Order: sequence, then structure tokens, then C-alpha cells
Amino acid sequence: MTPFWSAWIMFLIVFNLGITLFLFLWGPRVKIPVLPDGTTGHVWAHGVLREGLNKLPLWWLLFSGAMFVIGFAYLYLYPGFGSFKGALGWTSHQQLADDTAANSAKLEPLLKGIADQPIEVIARNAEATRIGERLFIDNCAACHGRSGHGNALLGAPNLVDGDWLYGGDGETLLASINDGRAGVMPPMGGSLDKVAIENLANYVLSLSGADHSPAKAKLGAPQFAVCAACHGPTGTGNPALGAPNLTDGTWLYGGDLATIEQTIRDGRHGVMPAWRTRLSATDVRLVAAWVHAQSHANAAP
Amino acid sequence: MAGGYKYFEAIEKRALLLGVFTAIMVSLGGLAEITPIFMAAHAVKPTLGLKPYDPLRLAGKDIYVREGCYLCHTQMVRALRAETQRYGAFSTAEESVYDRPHQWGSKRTGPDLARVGGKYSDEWQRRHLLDPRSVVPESNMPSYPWLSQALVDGADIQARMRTLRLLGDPYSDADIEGAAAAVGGHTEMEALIAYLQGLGIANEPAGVSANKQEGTP
Repeated sequence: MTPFWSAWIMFLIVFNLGITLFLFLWGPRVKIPVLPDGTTGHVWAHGVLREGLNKLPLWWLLFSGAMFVIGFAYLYLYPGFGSFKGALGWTSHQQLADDTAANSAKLEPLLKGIADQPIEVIARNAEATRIGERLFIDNCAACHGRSGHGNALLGAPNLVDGDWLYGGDGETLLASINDGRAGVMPPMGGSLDKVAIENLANYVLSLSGADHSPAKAKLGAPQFAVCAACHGPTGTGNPALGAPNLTDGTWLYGGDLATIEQTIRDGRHGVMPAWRTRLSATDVRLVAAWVHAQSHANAAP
Repeated sequence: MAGGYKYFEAIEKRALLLGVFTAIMVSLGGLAEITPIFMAAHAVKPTLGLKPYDPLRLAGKDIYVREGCYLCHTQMVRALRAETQRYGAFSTAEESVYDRPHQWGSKRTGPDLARVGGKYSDEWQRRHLLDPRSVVPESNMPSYPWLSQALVDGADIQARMRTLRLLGDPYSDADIEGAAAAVGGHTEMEALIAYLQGLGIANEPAGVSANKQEGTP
């Protein structure tokens, strides 16, 4: 703040508080002329209403006096009087730093060792996973749902079914969260016509034993050679690429014929953002631990 | 203090004088609190590396304003622990230099968006704008389906950029020249998503991220 604006503020405060304090002290002492009938002579409605004269109530005087005291105390203790920083030296940024430090100190015993323990161990720490759940709800639930059941519209995987695209061990979870994932299935609509796509989709359905037309699946089988590059010759997927297992009946975007045809024709581009810049290393470990705990608690034996 | 009454009488019996004095006393607070910051705002410089909006994001920003997103979403992370932990580093005035008008807002029905860029995928943003409840079941945000049907008008964006240049935003002739091509064929939906995805992350003021706290919910 420039000296001019500091002086401007100081002047206005002194002017304002000076006038109001003067009026507060002086006003009640001013003698108001009174007529013999005890009124001031001010009349309304042709004399029906006449203004009397009462002392200011004590509660009002005390309340107003307290306001002045509080106002002066505030301007003395806190920043407000121009560039005067206040006797307490309070700043909002320092308050934030103090609050943050106090909270860190409170959590320190709880978070001790989080940086070194494997995710599998942290997953058994109920307090740590409770924090992880809060972080999950705030950051991950928008796609994966509050309970981690995923969202087929987005191709956001179910995280609690024990079925993994890239792997569900602690280190892989950390990598997925820290650096994100891009699950790219290229569109095949350019090289395959409508009938070929339908045949291929039937073949894909046959891999998991779902309802399909065996005749069409047989016709589609040779086309799967292209798909095998990522999904493997038998369609069991490839965790290194995040290529889904097509034989297990678990579907990212949906396992009905129309959806699979759409997936083959238009491709898919699932994006898991990288959280390294948004969450601290500890936060990421806590989230990973919660996910690990959920997936292993709920996984089919 | 006898005789003081005549001053009160003089003011109270003249409505105009009473009005003028009242106006002066009422304006003191505003003059002290608003004027200095209002004047100082002209001297605020953009944070290091902060660039004026590219044409598509600029279009998105104006759609954000047009649709009234600010009525439910703030773009100001305050210097409070609960906010810096949830949203990231607190906002600074320098980050909003190219926001005309700024989108700080004061109503938070939805979450703060100051640092939402990159938090979700483009596809998530698209689904969410088309039908918020398809991704967040408990959301009460309205749907904005018309955004995916309207195209951004290139000439209009050029006019906006020229106006912003008059106000001091450093757009070059080449920037404005290329604006129509940059937004050509893009829907309002794409523009808004580009704007949202640019919020925060790259604009995070250097050195302030230290106020992010480790390991807390």
C-alpha cells in the first residue's frame, strides 16, 4: 500500500470515528427545549401525535460504547488502520501456515511410516484408509463413484471387484494414480464394414461365453488376429498395456452386442488423469491404500 | 452544552442538508475499503508465465459467463486450511489479470473451480455438462446440452480479442488473425471444456504451492 492510500484510510477512520465518538459523547448532553406539557413541540397529524422526550436507554448506551471499544481494540490489534500492521502482527497467510502446521503435527503420529510402508501394509491401517477414503471421495469419486464401483459411461473401471487392467498390487496402484493412464483402443470402423464388425463382436462375446451367434462368431474369428496384438491370441488381455481381458465377463463400457460393436467401430479412449501434481506423495499412498483395502475386502474369493 | 440543540435543529429541519451529511457518513466505509484496492488493482501484474486466453479458451470463458456458472461456482481458493487442502494453493490477484470480469464469485453451491484444470478428463467434463447425474449421481447441477450443438463464431472472437487488446491484453496481430481458424468448427462445448481444463494448474502461482499440505484429507 502506498503512503498516500495509507494516509487516506487513516484520515477516513479518524474522521469517521472522531465524528461518531464526539456525537456519542456530546449528543446525550445537549439540552433539548421542552414545552410545559413535557413534549418537544414536534407534532404530526395535526397534533394527534406529539414527540415526547425520554432518556436514551442504558442498554443502548452501553452497547454503543462497547462498539467503540471493540472498534478501537480491533484497529490496534489487527491490520486495518492504513498500513499499520496491528500489534498482533496477524496475517491470513500466517494463520493458514499455523493452521496447516498444527494439523500436520496432529496427524504426524498417524502418518508416521506411511512413506516407507508398502501399500499392502497401510491398507490394514484403519485410520490411514479413513483419510484415504476422504481423499478418494473428493478426487476420484467423480469417475469411479463414491464406493469405487466405476462408471461404464466413462469406462472408469470398477476398483472394488478385484479385477485389474494394469494390476492391483500396491506399486501398480501408485503408478496408476501418480502418472495416470490412457487406455487407447483404436477405431476399427475404417477397415471393417458393418457385417464384419458384427461378426467380430459376436466372436468377442463368445470369448466370455456370453450369448452370441456361433455362426457369426466363427466368421469373425479370423478378424481377431488384429485384436490379438493387444488383447492376446486368446483374448485374455495384457496388463502391461492395460488391454482388458475379454474372457472374464467384466466390461469397462458394457458387454452387450451393440456396445461392443461401438467399441470396435469407434475405438475407446479412456483417460485417468495424473495426480502427482495435485496430491502429495503421502496423499497418493493413502488413496492407494484405501483402494487396495476395498478391492481386497470385496474381491470374490 | 446549552445551545447545542440549534445545530441538531438546523440539520434535522433541512431534508437536503440531512441527506448530504448522511450520504457523506455512509460513504466513508466504502471510500476507505474499496477505493485503495480499486486503484491498486490497476497495478497488478500477471503471474510469471500467465498468458492471455487463447481464442478457444477465451470463447469458453465467455460461455462460462453467459451460462452463469459463477452463480454456483467460485474461482477463488481462500487462504483457509480446509480450502487449500481440498482445492490447492490459494488464489492470488495476479492470476485473474486476464479475467474480464473476474470469476471469483461469492456463491458456492458447487465446488470451487479455480484449480479444476486437469482434475478430470475431457470426456468426463463433456458427460458432466451434458448430464451431470450420469457421473455424479447426487449432483444438482443443470444440464447444458445445447453447448454441443452451437459452434463458436470466429469473427466474434476476433472482435472480443481486439477489445481486450484495447484494455491492455497483449494479443498480437497474428494472434487475432489466427483466432478464427483456431476456433473454427469447434462447438461451444469444446470451448468451455478447453477453458475449464486450463483453469489453475498452469496458472498456479510460483512459490505458493508450498501452502499445500502433505498427507491430510
